[in-house]
Amino acid sequence: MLALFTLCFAALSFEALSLEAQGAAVPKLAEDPRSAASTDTRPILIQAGAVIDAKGQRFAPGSVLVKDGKILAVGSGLVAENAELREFGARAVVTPGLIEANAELEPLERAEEGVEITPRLRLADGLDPESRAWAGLRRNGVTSAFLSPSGRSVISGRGAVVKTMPTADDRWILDAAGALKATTGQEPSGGNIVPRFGRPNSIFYRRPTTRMGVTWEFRKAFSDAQLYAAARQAGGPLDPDAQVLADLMASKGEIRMRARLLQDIRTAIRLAEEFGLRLVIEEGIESFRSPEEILAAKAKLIYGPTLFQPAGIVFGFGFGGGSVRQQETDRNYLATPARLHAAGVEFALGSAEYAASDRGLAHQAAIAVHFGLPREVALRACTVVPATWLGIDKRVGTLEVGKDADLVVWSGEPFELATRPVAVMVDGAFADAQED
Amino acid sequence: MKRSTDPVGWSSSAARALQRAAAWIRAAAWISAAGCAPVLGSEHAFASPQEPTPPPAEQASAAPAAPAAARPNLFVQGARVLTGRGEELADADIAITGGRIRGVGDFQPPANSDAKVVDARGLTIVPGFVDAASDLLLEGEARGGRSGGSELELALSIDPFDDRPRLGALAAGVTSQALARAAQTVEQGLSSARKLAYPPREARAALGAPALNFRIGLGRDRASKERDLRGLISLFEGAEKYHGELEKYAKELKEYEEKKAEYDKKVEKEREKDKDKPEAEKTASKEKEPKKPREPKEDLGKAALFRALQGELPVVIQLEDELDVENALELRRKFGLKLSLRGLSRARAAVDAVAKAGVPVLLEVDAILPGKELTRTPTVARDLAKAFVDAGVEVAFVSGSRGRELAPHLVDLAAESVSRGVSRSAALRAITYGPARALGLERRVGSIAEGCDADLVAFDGDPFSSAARVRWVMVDGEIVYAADRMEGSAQR
Amino acid sequence: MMRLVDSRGSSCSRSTARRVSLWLGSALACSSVLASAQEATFAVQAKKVLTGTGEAIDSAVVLVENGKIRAVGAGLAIPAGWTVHQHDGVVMPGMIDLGATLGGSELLENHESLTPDLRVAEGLDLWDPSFAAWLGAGVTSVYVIPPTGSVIPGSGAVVKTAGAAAQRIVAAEAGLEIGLNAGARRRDRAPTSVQGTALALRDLFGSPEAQASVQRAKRGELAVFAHADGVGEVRLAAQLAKELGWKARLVGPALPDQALAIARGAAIPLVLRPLDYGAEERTRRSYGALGATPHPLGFASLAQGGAEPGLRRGAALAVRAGLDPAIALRALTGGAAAMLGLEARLGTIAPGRDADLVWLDGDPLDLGTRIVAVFVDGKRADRGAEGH
Repeated sequence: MLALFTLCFAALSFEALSLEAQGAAVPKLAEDPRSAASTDTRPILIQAGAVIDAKGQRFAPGSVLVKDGKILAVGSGLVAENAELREFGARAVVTPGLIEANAELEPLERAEEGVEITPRLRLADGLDPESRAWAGLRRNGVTSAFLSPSGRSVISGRGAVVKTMPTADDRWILDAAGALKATTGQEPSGGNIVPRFGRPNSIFYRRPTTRMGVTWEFRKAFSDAQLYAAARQAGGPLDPDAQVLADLMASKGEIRMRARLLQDIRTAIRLAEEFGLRLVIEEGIESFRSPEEILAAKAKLIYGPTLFQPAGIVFGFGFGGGSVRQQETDRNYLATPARLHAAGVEFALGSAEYAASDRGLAHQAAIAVHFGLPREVALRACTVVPATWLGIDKRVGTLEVGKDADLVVWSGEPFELATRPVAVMVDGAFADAQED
Repeated sequence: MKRSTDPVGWSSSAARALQRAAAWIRAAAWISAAGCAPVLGSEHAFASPQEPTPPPAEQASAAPAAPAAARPNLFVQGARVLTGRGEELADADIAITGGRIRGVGDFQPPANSDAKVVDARGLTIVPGFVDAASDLLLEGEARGGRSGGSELELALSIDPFDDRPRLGALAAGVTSQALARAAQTVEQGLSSARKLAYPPREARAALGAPALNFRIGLGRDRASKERDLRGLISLFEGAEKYHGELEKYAKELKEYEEKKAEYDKKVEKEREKDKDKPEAEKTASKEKEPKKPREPKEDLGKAALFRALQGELPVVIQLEDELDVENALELRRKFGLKLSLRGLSRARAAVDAVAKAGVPVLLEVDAILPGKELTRTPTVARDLAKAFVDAGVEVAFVSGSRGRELAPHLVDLAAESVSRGVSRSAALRAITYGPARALGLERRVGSIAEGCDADLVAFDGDPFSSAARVRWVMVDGEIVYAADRMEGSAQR
Repeated sequence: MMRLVDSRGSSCSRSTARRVSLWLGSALACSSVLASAQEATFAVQAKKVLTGTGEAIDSAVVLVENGKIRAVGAGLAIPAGWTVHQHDGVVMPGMIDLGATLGGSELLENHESLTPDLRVAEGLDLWDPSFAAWLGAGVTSVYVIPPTGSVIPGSGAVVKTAGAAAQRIVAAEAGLEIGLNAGARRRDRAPTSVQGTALALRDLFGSPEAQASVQRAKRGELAVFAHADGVGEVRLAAQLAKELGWKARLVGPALPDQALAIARGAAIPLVLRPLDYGAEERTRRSYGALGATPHPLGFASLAQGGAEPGLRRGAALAVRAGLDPAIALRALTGGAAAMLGLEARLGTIAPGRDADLVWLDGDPLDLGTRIVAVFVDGKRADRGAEGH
């Protein structure tokens, strides 16, 4: 590996490049065949006012050298003779590409509404490389994302981890079988109805129609799977759906549960405990009310989205507004990330159905910082933390030599409300500005 | 506002535009005097001192890109030329001066001149296509809807922000286009033509050819057709009446002004007389002050209608079947309109009547390719376009109310009409000279002939062959689209 | 222009022939012409014969015997006593529409989304007027499919647009229709999503108790016509084809050049919907970008009844956009027959094939070209539907 790297150097004559001077990381290649694929492309040298590597270092002025989709060097005042120079000015700041830990795109197309329990569904089968959502994610500085299945089912299948620049082949799909998604609360029961008139001939004439029903469906699915596992060991017939759940329990696997209100968060914690699963909480809007419960449960929390909205509308409390309780909810709502941090909870940020919109991750992080979250914690919550949790930290999440060249160039200090991404690079290629 | 000197109410912008257009038509008359008759095959020696008389200076300024210098400064050489009027020339040259065609035939650019030469060997050159009715440029709301009125100027509804449809049609060889819409209303508004090479609001894009547009036969039954006819008749009669009122008002106003002047003078005189008398003894004048006549309410729509009655403004009537045609021709007889018809998709039985009346027809896709979409409709005649052509009617194929879809395919529609029995030359004429004549613009566009604008489309084969593509499009002597250039930029 | 020559070979005088041809133009359906054309054994001498394999033979003769082609070539000897037709134009094989819902409105069983055992051939009205319209447009065989609306609406049948009733159905179960496109899904019936569709198909094809047609498709005996619109659906189709062992054809991609990139790797033939006036610039360019690809192509009108298939127009507009004319022509004829597995009977002018012939007055891919006559199984079948 090291030999290969030196070979690159020799071929490109980087005499002027002195790594020690900038205190850059020791060269280390990730194990990705693409890095060695072709050596005849020109490297790109990105220069900006500052480079933040998300590992605790800030280079000002900063530069990043990129070749064949990988980072060759990070530091101050890098020089490379035959590199294509991209200068972004003294105000610009470069960070690693953001990782959206919870993107829920085009809800209708992602939902299978016929059944409640569909653990074998894979969102990766329905991916549309032509969707406008990828450009929307990139506009938020997002270069990798966990795509979460719709919350219209109780157990809605596996999500996918992708890069936000689709390729002709499947290279852009980092994980086609991501974590299993489940949903608590009102959403899975939302469209279902109780037959009152006529024949019950719609697929929506069914249980659950309440929160409690949703929980019941989840618990039944997993208890059935426990019974099934026992029967299967005794030579019973295969039930592929139950098998998925049984396997998950056997391996103490991860379940991603969307839980917004405190009662739903508690339900999620209880259910995960009951079936011995590792819990990832999605959204956790009311998590500020009881961070200690989340800490005690050792659950991973993907908090967000936060929305600027007048009191009272957010959770359907009606438009009255003005009560003490509502005002408190509203105030604490915006400062939730800061409060979670103060309570010692490590969390990632996510923006769910707003992921590809103006209210995507860049905006979420900016709100969090604006309401008291330290900037470096916010950056970690959008890069290193989700990368580790999604198991892609060997390739993305920080600006390190040998990692994927995924980065964002911001117009100023990142996560300021007035700052926006001016350029986004995924795998060493800048996104087409026209398209974005 | 000086309404007294403006008896027809020409004070709004719409009306001014009409006046401008009318002025343009008058100014453009020099072309007809000079003549744009084809001088085919004549071997002009442009180096010779015999130059045609240049147009008078002040009129020349009215027509865009008028030749300033008479010597040709551009030669398109060696092409197969289809003139749009039925002639076909092999290996011909086109000489161009200041954006105008000076001749078609065998030319050599004079030695040591700075004339440009476009090598067109192997190409087939046809006139820029003329789309005599299209909603391509109009914004969505204006294309259909229920609002209407003869005072509506369609040019005001051009979408200035979306250039893609215009450039798409231009790249397909459509260089001139008249506006049209298909609203659910009788009075569709005032249309005009423009060149697609320029942004539609620029002055050089304007081609004039204003016309009033109507639509009849919206209801399919006899009674509602009859109602439409009566409605139109009363509209025109109302316009006549309105004009009468205006004239009466103008006359009364003049009388009033005379009387008032007289009165003022008398009063003045009396005052003069009573000047020295003490205030109490002053007598009130016995003269009665004349009363000012009441001005009729301004109605721009009626004013436009009246111009149509005067024959100043042509009329386009969109219609469907033979009964509508009968009604339209009835209107023409009654009011002496300068008429053309658009649509006619179910008017097979009216072909002879149209031919006899000598009225041009603008056919849309459902008349050019009837039966493409309709199923089992007994009135559909597959050879409708052929029937019109055979009867000697001036036919124009237009993209009409589906401009966005069909304007880029005008040449394909014409090609497909050949499969429905229209001859190749008639099909080409129906997208070049035919529509130009229907618009009254035949001296500027629609044919490759001396005096006409140098609007040319070069194909690398027969324009009707699927394998042929547009190589370049020239408007007013400038290449405004070149396939090579576009292909390069279209690559991702 | 068609001219009749005396059956013994001595030609009539030129003026007589002209008169006959004029007369033909006004009354093609006239009985005496039909009488001579009804014989399924004759020879045709044409200015040009396009065989459907990409070959063009100038001044060629086609010998038709009992509804089958006996021979084709330049300078063939015509057996004595045969009727000889002169055609001053082009003769090509009857075109094949690789997907249209003709023959009635009752071809979709709506209750469930996966109904693989339903056969279109069993719900078909052979006298639907659309067949005559397709015939008039030079289409002699149609792969009749159920309308879009279910994930597996059933199997399609190859039907001739004319001919003796007993022989019109060429293949009763020619392919299994699978819809991965949005039109196949409904919000009130499972599956409602792409990934749900994928799961349902994996379950169905994985089940040992699956229906007979599914088993045949799994063994590659029954072609699978996978309808996919967007690039994501195309990707899924290619993936499922590989996983589930389909002999797949990819039908109706919105952007054929992008679909080609995926289909080429998976060696899946592409069935294109015909371009029409009004196609977006992006779509046109995508068709044009196919250029002269050697990848197997076909055209499917995907019409549900109607007055015309628009196949020839669609191919012509694609050629205008940049598709190679020879490729387009093959896609309309021989290429399409091969996709149905019926190349031994349809799509080409070669010895032993059905004598399904189209006479035109020019290049079939020029929009101005008119169809002069259509023969099915060696018999004149058109009533001048497209021409006069």
